[in-house]
Amino acid sequence: MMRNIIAITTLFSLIVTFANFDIVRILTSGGPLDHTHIFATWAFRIGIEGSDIPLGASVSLFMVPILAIAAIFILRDVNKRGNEA
Amino acid sequence: MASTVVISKGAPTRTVKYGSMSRDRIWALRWSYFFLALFAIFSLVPPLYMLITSLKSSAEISAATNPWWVFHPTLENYISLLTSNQFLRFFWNSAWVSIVVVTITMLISVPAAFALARMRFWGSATLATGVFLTYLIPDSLLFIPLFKMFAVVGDWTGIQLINRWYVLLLIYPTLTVPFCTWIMIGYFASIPKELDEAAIIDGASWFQTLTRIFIPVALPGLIAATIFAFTVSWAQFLYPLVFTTSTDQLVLPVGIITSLIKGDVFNWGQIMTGALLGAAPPLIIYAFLMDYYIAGLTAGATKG
Repeated sequence: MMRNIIAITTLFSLIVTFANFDIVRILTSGGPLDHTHIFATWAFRIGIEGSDIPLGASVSLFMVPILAIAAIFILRDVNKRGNEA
Repeated sequence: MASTVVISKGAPTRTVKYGSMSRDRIWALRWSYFFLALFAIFSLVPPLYMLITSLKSSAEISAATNPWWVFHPTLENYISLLTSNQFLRFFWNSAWVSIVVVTITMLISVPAAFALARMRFWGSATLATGVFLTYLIPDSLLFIPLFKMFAVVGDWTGIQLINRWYVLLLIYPTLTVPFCTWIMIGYFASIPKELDEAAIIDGASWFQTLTRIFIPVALPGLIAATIFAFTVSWAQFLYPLVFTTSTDQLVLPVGIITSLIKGDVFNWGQIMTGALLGAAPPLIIYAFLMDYYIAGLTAGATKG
């Protein structure tokens, strides 16, 4: 009964954590010698601060397939179990 | 379920119970309070530290004393922030943006949710799923395309949108509207059909059904959505960082970061004070709306 809710919450927190920007930006902002970048902060560094918009956009676009695979699997399961959530 | 109640033949007797609860439940309650206390401490220590640090002078922060105690409490951080035009400007921008965004969000998402939950039109189920999927797209994916888009719009039409605070009024609803619509669809779907049938029999139009029946009944959901929209637009960090740069256009979170950190110099006392003052409005709004929220929850729609 709770599985759908748990699945959707998992998906949400997965996406929010994976695409996080604020915390990394404030704590290390990419950190010593760009060692602690994640996709979002790296895209910001290149696209906005380095004003190379196409390259920055492609960096952030790399998140899409990874998150899409997770979303497809989780949402397919939710769909199969029926719409109770 | 393990029960301690033993019924012997003859006169039914009970084994010893504590109050009205069995031993298992008492232990479950104790453990849940234990973990509740643990998480409360975990989440309340940072605000406490913020408060402690905000009451210190810069000299005391950098001095090697016990960081968990204020030896010379001072309000100089509060005074210097609340008298600085810059900080008040950030606060004003933040408040203005959040209030307008909440209004826009509610004006869009409540009718949208009503239409998607009740009016069965072609593709309404697909559209509802689409709204949910829109929320799954993170903001860190969208900021560069949006930046480019606004730059192009600025080139074509001459309307300068980048580095103006009101550009945030256009962007924030992309975060708040899908989620609020989704919450409201859930709430509206849980309202029994009999209520709107009764309204239709009494000759109410769709709009009257929405304003007279659905909004009062779904008030808890409405308030939850309002709180969510306000919190998101108050705490949003990435979009204002990207789209606004000059100091008179910044909102509070970005303003604190850019104006109180100068190179490697962190003005910790003022940062903590600013963060504390920035955290206050959502807390106050939440505290006030909480009564409403619970009152709405217990109202009961189909009694009698």
